Amino acid sequence: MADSAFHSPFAEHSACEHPSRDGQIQVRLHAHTLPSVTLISTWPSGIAALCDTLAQALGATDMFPLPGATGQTAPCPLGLLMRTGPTEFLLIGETAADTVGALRRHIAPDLGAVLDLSHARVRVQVQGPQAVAALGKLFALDFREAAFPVGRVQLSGHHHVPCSLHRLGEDRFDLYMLSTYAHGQLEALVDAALEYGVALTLAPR
Amino acid sequence: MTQSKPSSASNGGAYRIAKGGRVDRSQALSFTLDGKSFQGFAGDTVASTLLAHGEHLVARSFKYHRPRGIMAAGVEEANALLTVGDQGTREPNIAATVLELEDGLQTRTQNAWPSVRFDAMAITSVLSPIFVAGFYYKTFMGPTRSAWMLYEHFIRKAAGLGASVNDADVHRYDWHNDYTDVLVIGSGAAGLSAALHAARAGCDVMLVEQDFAPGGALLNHPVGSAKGQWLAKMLAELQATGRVRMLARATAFGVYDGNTVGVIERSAPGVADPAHGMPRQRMRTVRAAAIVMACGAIERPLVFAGNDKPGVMLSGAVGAYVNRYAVAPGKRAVFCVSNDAAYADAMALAQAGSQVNLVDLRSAVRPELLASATGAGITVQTGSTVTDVYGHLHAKRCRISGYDASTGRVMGGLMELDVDLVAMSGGWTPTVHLSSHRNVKPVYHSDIACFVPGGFDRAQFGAGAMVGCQTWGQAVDSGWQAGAQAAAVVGKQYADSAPTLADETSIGFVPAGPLLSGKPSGKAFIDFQNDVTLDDVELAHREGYQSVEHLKRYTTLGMGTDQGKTSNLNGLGLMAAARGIDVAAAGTTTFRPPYTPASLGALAGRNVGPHFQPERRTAMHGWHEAHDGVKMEAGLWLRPLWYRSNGATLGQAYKAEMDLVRESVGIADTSTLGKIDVQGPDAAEFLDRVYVNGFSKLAVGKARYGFMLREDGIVMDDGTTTRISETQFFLTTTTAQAAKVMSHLEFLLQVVWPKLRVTVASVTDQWAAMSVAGPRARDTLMAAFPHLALDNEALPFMGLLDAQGEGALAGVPLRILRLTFSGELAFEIFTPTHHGLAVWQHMLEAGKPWQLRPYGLEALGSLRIEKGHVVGSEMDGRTTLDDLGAGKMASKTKAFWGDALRRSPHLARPDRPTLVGLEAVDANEPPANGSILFFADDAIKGHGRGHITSTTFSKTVGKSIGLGLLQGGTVHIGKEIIAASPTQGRQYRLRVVDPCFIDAQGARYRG
Repeated sequence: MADSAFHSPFAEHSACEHPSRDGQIQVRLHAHTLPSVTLISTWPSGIAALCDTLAQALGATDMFPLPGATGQTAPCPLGLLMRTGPTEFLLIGETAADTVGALRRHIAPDLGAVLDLSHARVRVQVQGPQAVAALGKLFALDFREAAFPVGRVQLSGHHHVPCSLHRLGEDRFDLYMLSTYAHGQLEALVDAALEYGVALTLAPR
Repeated sequence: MTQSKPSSASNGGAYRIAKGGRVDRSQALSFTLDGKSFQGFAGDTVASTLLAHGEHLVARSFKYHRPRGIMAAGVEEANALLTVGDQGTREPNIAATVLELEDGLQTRTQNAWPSVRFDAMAITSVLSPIFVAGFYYKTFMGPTRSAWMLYEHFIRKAAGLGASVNDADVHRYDWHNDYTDVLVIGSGAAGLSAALHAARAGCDVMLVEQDFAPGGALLNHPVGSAKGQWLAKMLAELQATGRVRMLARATAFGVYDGNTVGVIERSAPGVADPAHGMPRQRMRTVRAAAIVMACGAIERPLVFAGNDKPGVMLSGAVGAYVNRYAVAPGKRAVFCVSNDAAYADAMALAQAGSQVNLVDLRSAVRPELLASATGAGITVQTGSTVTDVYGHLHAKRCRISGYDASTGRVMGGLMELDVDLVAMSGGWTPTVHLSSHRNVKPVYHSDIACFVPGGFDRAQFGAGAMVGCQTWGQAVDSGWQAGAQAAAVVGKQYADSAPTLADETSIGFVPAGPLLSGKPSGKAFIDFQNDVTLDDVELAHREGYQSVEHLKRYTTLGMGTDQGKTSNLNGLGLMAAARGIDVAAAGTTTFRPPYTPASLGALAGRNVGPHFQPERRTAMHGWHEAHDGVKMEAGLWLRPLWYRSNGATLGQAYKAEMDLVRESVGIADTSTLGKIDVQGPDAAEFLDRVYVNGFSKLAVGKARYGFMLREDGIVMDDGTTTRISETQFFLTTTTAQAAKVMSHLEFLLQVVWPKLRVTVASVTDQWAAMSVAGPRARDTLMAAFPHLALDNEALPFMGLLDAQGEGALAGVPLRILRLTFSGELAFEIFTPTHHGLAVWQHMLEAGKPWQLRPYGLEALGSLRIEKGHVVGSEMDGRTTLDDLGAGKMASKTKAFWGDALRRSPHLARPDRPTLVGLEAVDANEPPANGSILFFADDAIKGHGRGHITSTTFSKTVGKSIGLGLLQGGTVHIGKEIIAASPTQGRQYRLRVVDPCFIDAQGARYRG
C-alpha cells in the first residue's frame, strides 16, 4: 500500500540530538512501527495442544524449542517469538507477511486465537552505556544481569501504561509500546535520558 | 550579627583554625546571608562558614522570637533554619548545618523583621508568660466557631518558620528505581563495616549517606587520627571490591513494604542544570533484598536556663566544627557533659587554642580521662553543672553549680564564668526512625538511657550506635555481623573477621539518671524548634495531657522539620518523671516518614508538566491539532471537544456541528472507544454470560447493542458487539470503561469460568475509528468507496462489512459497521491505526460535496442526549437496567453476570429514580448538570426526587433539554417539575418528557 496511507504514531516527533553537559551521547533511541505483530493465545486447558501445533508450524526443534516460560524468547522463521504469558505468545515479524493467515492454516479456532496486532504495537530501540540508567527512571525493573538476562522480555509499565522490554545486550533493549501511548512514552524516554545525552532517530515508518 | 570580629579573607574567617580539617583551602567559595558575603572553603557547610566568621545568631525562634544560633552540626539542627535561593529557586527551612557551601549561594534568615538582630516580633518573648502550651487552644475558642479563621491569619503571620514558595520551581527533579542485594543506610563505622562484609561476600551493595561525605561520626575526628585513617582505609577497601555503589548526599527518608526504601539524593554543588537534564535532587525508590540500618545516634541537649541562646551548642557539634571544618566556635568555652565522649570534643577545642572549662554532671570520672583533659589544659569540675546562661544575642556568661547526679539536685552556685561558647552533652539517642517506620516499636534500655529498635522487619538488620553499641569497636563488629546477616539473605557468605578499629572510647551513651540539671531559673528549652520549655511539659502534665501522643499535640513537642530529634527523649523523660513512671512505660510517639524533610519537587520527580500523566493519542490527533480542534481530557485521551473552524465559541461551534449531523453529514474521531477481540469455541457462550442480552444467536456479520452488569446488579457498561465469525467477536466499550471492562472479562475467564475456551485481547490500539453520521452519510461513504456495496440491503442497520480500500487506500483494511449514536444514519469505520489518518482525510475529501466537517465531543454528547442514549453520566455506578429504562433487554431465558443481585429488593424498589427526558419550560439556558429535581409543590431542600444527569440546548427541539433520573420516571411525563442547583443557587422549571427527543421510530437511522 502507498506510504501516504501510512502514518506512524511517532510522526509528530522529530529526530533530535541532545548532548549531555560534557558533550556525550550515551543513549540512542530509534523509533519505528512494526511490519507484523501477531498474538497467539489460548485458554488454560489448551496450552499443550497449542504449543505442539505452534512448534510444528514454526519448525521448532529440540535445539530451537519454543520459549517455555513467560519472559523467554526464541527466534523462528517468522520472526521473534516471545512468551508473554502462560497461555500466550507474541510473534514479532520483520516483514509484512500475512502471519495471521499463515498461522491460521495450522491453528484452528478450537486450538486458540490468532490476532493481528501490527498496528497496536510499535518499537523503540534503546542502546548506549546509560541505557539502563535511563530505563531505570521509567520502569521499576531490576536490570541486573541475573534478574534480567539478555534474551528475556519483561512486561513493565510507566505511569501504569504497559510496555514490554526485550533485552538484546548489556546495554541494548527493544521496547514494545502500545501505539496510542507511544508518542508520550517516547517523549518520556527522551526526557529521562537527557542528562546522559540522547539521540533520537525515526524510521520512515 | 552577634560578633563584630572582622573576618580574615586569608583563612576563611577569624575563627578558622590554621591547619587541619577536611575542607579544601585551595577552593575558596562565597555565599551571602541577608546580602552579606561570607567566604569559606569547599567542604564547608553554611553553618561552619558562619561560625568561622564568628556568626552565631542566624535565626529567631518559632513562637517567642528568641535569638537563636547554630546548635548542631547535622540534620538534628533545630534552630539555624535558612531560606535558600530566590524566586523559582527559593526553598525555606533548610538547616545551615547540612547546607553544603556553594559559590554564589544566596541565603536569608527567616521569621524575623526587620532582622534577626532586631526583631520587632520579639515582643512576644516579653509576653511569653501567657504564651504557654495550649494558649491558642484556650484563648481563641470563640465567640463563634468560625472566629478561628480570623485569628489564624494573624497567628500564622506572627509565628512560624520560613515562608512557603509560590513561584514555579525552576529546578529539575528526577526519579529512579534501584535494586540491590544489600542496602546499607549510614556510612559511619558500623555502616562501612556492614557494607564491606556484604560486598566481600559477593553482594551488590548500595551504601547511602545523608552527608556530602562518607564517614558519619568518623568525619568528626582528625584526618590523621586512628579513626581518620581507618575511615580512609575502609573507603579504599570498599572501592576495591567493585561491588559497592556509594551515594553521598542521599537520605533514606522512609522504609516501606517489601524492603522498599525512599531515598532522596541531592546533587553536588554546581551540578544541577535543567537545560542538560541534570536534576537538583533525585528521588530513588530502592528495593533491596536486605537492609542494614546503621543510622547512628543524635546527641541530647541538657536542660538548663538559657540553653537555647546563640553560642550554646551540642558538644559533638563543637568537635565536628573543630576537627572536620577547622573552625573553633568559641575562644572561651564551658563544656557541660554527662559522658566520656564529650571530653574528646573539649580537648579538640582546647588544642585549637581556646580556653576550655569542663563541668561533668558525674561525681567521678575515670582518672586517665581526667588526666588527658587536664593535660590538654582543660579545667575539669566533676559533680557540677551549668544552670544558667546569660546574654541576649549571644552567650556571655554562665553560672556553674554543684550537682548531685544520684538525685538530680543542684547543690548551689559555685561560680560564674565569662564565655562565648557553652557546649552541652546529655548523652546520645539512637536514630530509630527508620526501623520504626515498619511499625516496630523501639524499646527503652535503662542502662544506656535510650530507646533502641525493638527489632527489625524481615531481612532488615541494625548496627552501631543505632542499636546501642557503646564503643567504636562494638559498632564495627555489629556492622560486620549485620553485613553477614544481610548477605545470608541472598545466599552469600564471607568468612574473614571484622576489620579492627582498636578504639574502645565510649560512643557517649549515658547510664540511666536524671535528665535535668536541676530546676532552671529561666526558660529552659526541651524542643528548640517549637519553643517548648520545661514549664510547658509540666503544664501539660498538670492539665492531664500525660500520654506522649497528647503531650506532642498539646505542646507541639517533636513536631516541625526536625521531628524532635534532639527533644523527644528529654520530653519523654520529663513527662515520665512528672508521672512517676519509667521512661520505658511512657513509650514514644509514632515515627513516620520522612526522617528529614523531603522536597515536594523530589517526590514529584519528572512527573510534572507534560509528564504529569500519560497522554494517549488517536491516529488523527495531529490533524485535530492542525485544524483548530480544542482538546479536552477524556481519561488519558486528548479528544477534540469542538473545532474553532465550526464557530468562534464552544456554544456556536457545537450547535453548528450538531446541524452538520442532523442536516447533512459530520465525522467524529471515535478511536477512543474500547475494543476487545473475543475468540474461542465458547466465545458466544461467554458473551451470553457477560451481557444481559443474548449473543449466541447473533448472526455472523451482524452487531448487537448490549449492557453488562457488575456482580451487584448495577450497570457496568454498554457497547456494541459484532460477530466476525462463529468463534470471533469484536466488542466495543465506552471510552471511560475500556480498561475496566477488559479487566472484568479477564477476571471472569481466569477466576469464575476458567474452563471456558475463550481468549480476550484489547485491540483498542489496533484500530482507529471514525463515525460518519448524518442524512448524507451513505452518499459520503459511496463517494469514498465506490467499489463497495453500501445500500440498505448490502449493509443494513447493525450490519458489518469487512473490506479493503482502493486507489490511494489500496490494501488498507476497512471494517464498516452501521451503527448510530446520534440517531442519524451513521457508519462506524474502523481501520488499522496507522491508516487512520489516511482514511480520515479520504473521508473528508469524499464528503466535500455535502460539506462534511468534523464534530467534537460536545456535539457528540448533545446529539446523544437528543436521542436519549445513556453514557457514563447515567451509568454512574448506581443505576440498574430498569433505572435506565432498559430492563426489557435482559434475557429471561439465560443466566448472566449480575442477574441475581439486580433482583434484590433494594434495586427493585418502585421509588428508585429512573430515566426521563426533561425540557425547559421557560428558559433556554440549560439547567446545570446535577441539579436536584423536585415536584412543584415540594419544599426545595434535601435530596429531592432525583437529579439531572445531562443537559444541552437542542436546536432540533428548539429548547434546552436534558436527561435525568426521577422517582417514578416516565409515569410523570407531562408534569412540570423544578430543578434546583444548590451550587448556583438557581431554580429551573422543567417538563418531564420521553427520553428520546427525536425520531422515536428510528426512521432516520434505518433509512
